[in-house]
Amino acid sequence: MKKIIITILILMITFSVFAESENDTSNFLKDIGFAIGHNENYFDGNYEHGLNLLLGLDAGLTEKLELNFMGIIEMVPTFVQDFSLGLEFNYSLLGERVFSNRNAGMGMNSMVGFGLYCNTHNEKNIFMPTTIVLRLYPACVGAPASGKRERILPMGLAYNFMTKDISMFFSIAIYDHYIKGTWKTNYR
Amino acid sequence: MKKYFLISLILVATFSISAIDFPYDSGYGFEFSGKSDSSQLVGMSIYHKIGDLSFLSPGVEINADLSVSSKGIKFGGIRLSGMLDLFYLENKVFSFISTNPTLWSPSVKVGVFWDYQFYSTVTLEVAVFRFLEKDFIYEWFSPFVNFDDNGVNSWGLTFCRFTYMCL
Repeated sequence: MKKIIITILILMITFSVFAESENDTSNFLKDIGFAIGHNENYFDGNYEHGLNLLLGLDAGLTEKLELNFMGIIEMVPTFVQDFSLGLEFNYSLLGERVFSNRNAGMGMNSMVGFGLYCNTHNEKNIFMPTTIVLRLYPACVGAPASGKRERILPMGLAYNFMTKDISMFFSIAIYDHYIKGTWKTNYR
Repeated sequence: MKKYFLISLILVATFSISAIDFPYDSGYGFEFSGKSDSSQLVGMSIYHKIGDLSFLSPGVEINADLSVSSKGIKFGGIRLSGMLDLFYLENKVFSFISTNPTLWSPSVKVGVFWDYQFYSTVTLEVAVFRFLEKDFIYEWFSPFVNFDDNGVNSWGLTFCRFTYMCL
């Protein structure tokens, strides 16, 4: 019996995976991608009811934190006459979005985001920081490692501290296409 | 003009993939769009493919929309349109957006749109970014214009339309 246990122990040690310490790298800007999606604001007099296009640049900062540079452009009813630019920090709630080693991050996740937007929605009508947003991404399918991610039905609250307005917004989906940190670029 | 049209037609016929054999001819879909005189529209559509040609293949589509805004939800309109799938090309250019292989098939739709007051207009939609899978049709950023006797009545953009082909 003792012999069998020792044999099993030796086999386990032999086949056990060593920690890939040589592959551990920083997650800062490990993944970079583009985002395209939809955005709609409700109960906000500064936005016409119509359709807004959301364009963005995603950059990974840590295993759970990412930075999004977002642009929201009005398409309908007035074409490209109103736009907002902002930065959002997103934190993943259901595990790591990426790992330091060669393992892929979680394929299904939720995120919460906090950001600041600049636009002309103020009394002076000048382009300046006006709005802070809190956004929830209930379902993010995909990961940087897979090259694609869909953030489904993100929604949140926006507070315009210049006009003291609170509004809500939502998107049908935001699609992320990664150009760095994917299985094509980093994992083979 | 006639010459260019004929050359275009020959080119389309040459490069279009022949013998498209999709298992289903009909399906239903969901769409999100915005119209210049309205709010955001959320709708459903029913699509039926009539022909099985390798290019300029005809079909019909019915769309019913709800208008969603801060003021509430109301009837947005109904549209009945005939359409032509211009061609079917293996999607190399936009293949990065989908996991499965797709065909690129732009489509032109012409029909009648009745708004919430049942005022009728002639509608034209061009679905440039239209991609076919075995069971799905994806359409992105399709502009449309509604005309009446005075010219352009309204215009808009269909952000996305996903049609599930099942019948």
